[in-house]
Amino acid sequence: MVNLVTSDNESFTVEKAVASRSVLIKNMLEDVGESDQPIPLPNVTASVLKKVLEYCDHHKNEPMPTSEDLAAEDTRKRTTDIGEWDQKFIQVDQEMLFEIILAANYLDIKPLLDVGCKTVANMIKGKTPEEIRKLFNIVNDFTPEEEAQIKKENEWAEDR
Amino acid sequence: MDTNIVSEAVAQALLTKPEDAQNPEGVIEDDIPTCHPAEGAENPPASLEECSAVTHTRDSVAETICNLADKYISMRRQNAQLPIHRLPSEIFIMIFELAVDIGLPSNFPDPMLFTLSQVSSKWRAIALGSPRLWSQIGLFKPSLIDLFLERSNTAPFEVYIAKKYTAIELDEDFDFDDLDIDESEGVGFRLGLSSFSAHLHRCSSITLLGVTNNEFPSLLTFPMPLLETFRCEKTDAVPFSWSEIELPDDFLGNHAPCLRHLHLSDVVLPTDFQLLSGLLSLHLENVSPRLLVAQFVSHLRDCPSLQRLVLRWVEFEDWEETLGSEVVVAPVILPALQDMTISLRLELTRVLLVSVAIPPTACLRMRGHDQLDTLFLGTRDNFPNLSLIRALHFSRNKEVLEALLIGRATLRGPDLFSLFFYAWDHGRNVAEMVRGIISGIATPSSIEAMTFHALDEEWVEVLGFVATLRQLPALTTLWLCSSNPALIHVLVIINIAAWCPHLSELRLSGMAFSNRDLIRLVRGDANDGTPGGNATSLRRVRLANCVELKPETITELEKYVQVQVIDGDPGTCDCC
Repeated sequence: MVNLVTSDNESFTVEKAVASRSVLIKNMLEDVGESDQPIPLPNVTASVLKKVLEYCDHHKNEPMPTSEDLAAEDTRKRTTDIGEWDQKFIQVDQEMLFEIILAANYLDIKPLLDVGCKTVANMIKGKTPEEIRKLFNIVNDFTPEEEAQIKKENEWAEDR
Repeated sequence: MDTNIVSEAVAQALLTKPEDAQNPEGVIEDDIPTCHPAEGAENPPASLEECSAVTHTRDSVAETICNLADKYISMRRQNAQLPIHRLPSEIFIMIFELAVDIGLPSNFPDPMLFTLSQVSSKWRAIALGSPRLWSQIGLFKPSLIDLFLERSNTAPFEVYIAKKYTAIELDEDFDFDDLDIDESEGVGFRLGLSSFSAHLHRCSSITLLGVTNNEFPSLLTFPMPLLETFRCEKTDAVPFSWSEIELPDDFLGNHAPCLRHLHLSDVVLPTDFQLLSGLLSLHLENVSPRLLVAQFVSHLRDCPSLQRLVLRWVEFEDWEETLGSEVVVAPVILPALQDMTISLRLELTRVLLVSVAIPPTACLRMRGHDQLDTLFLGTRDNFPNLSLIRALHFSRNKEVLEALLIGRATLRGPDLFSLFFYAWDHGRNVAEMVRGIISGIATPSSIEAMTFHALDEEWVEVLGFVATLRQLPALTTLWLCSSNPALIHVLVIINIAAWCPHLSELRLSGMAFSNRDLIRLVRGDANDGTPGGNATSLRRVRLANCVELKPETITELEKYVQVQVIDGDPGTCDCC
């Protein structure tokens, strides 16, 4: 078992197979060897780690992506399809979604990072700039000069 | 007021003094005209009143700029606090790359690309600072080429050239001269190519779809040090009398050291067509290499890294000689091969099967042949993967019958062998062919799982199905999907447990079977109706999208086996 301590000082004891879905933790465990010492995770809060561990537990028996897989994925056209379980798992509020993405990035859990990024990509797809602003509460902060440039760009794009 | 001043003021304020938003005057002071004449100026000094007026104007302009700058700085700071903006730029880029629908030439440019750069200043900076996003260029939109070339910076880019043809009706009187090619598009293409030619060395991928001959000589003869993929084919939209592209003898300037994927369809190959040693995939379709089949096989020896080989309707020079004769070709081993697809004349197929040994985990795909006994005569040793086949999947899609032989009994394992039969002769029942495949290619005693998908009574008759099951004593999983519902009844009548004693899992998807038959099968009812009169090895039943499945049936089944019910669209498939 592995003991993980979050930034808000909460402890989680999990199976090694679950914790090792994180390449960061896996490498730490390999470097430190057998030890009872808790692993501090200063960038992850308890509520986020709980969700991340739920994901890791569900996928603990799947093969880890190899470096060849990652290289091949980079050159391949990637789709934004998400598995059924993952879709349900990632149905959280926006704040939690971004926290999960940040945690997956920090803990180096590539498949979870992919799920998070694909979810955001799917939220964005097919929307206009105004709809995207509305979705994420973004204010249009373009200066008049930038707006003029954008207008020109759109004219080029529509030109056939 | 010149909008540049506001933008520069905002940019400078954010760049140089992000913490000093309350006092940005110092930042913009240099941009405001001064009333002090420059040193050495010949004009006389201004009067006090003039100086005062200029100062007033200057202060007023400065104040307006400051107010505007404050407004934009405040908006950008507000945006920076949003949860989404906690994500670092590299994650934003990942999201953008996923959101942009790249890879389809007809989509160039994907409107999403511009949308992403028009949401806010931060999104714009990230999108414009990511050359990869702008590295797919369609030459048919000249107005955008310079923009994309600039934004892709020095990144290698992918070029798509897809010519569009006005839809026409192909009837008996069709004449090629009637073909209507959009002329304005042709002009755009030529313009695009001219501004693009200086950057050809940056190409990592070239795709030519439906382009006619001699429109792009430099594109075919220019050395391409970064080129990884070259694809040239006729599209479905192009009529049959399209003239083939002739690849020149100095194809790619004979210098494409990074070329890994070569896809040539409906082209005339160079006289001395040499395969490139670094190729990972080679797709030749409707081409006639000026090579003997033995020379081609010999060239394959120079491609040890080849992972995917597709040969469809390739006519070698000696194809006539191969008819009915024993062509001897020195065998070649392709150790990295993962997938070989062959759609060739029977005789050429046989020559290749004799000559090319594929690794045990590679998949061999064949189309259009049903004379498997002849084909595999004396060649089985070249396909050690055949002995690894554990699962069979037979499926129909319109008039195409697919036989898929899979390397693991999970039915989700790696494909090892697949066969596609076009326009299957209905005179021969599928079950007969299935038995031919089982005995001719696979090892019947090794088969643990079998799927029948979309094979209704027209395609698979009951007696044939029974005879097929008799060949599979090791069967553990049987999956019937959108197929003849009478097959369930047959399983009861023949007492399947007697023939397939290890059958532990039954999967039914999209089926409209009799609830009574299913209960009888699971209970192992004897033919005289005695419940449980026969032994049964079934442990699990999986029912997905089944039509008219009654709740009481599920309750009854649960007394005997583990039941999994999946509710989707009734009648739909979930096996492939």
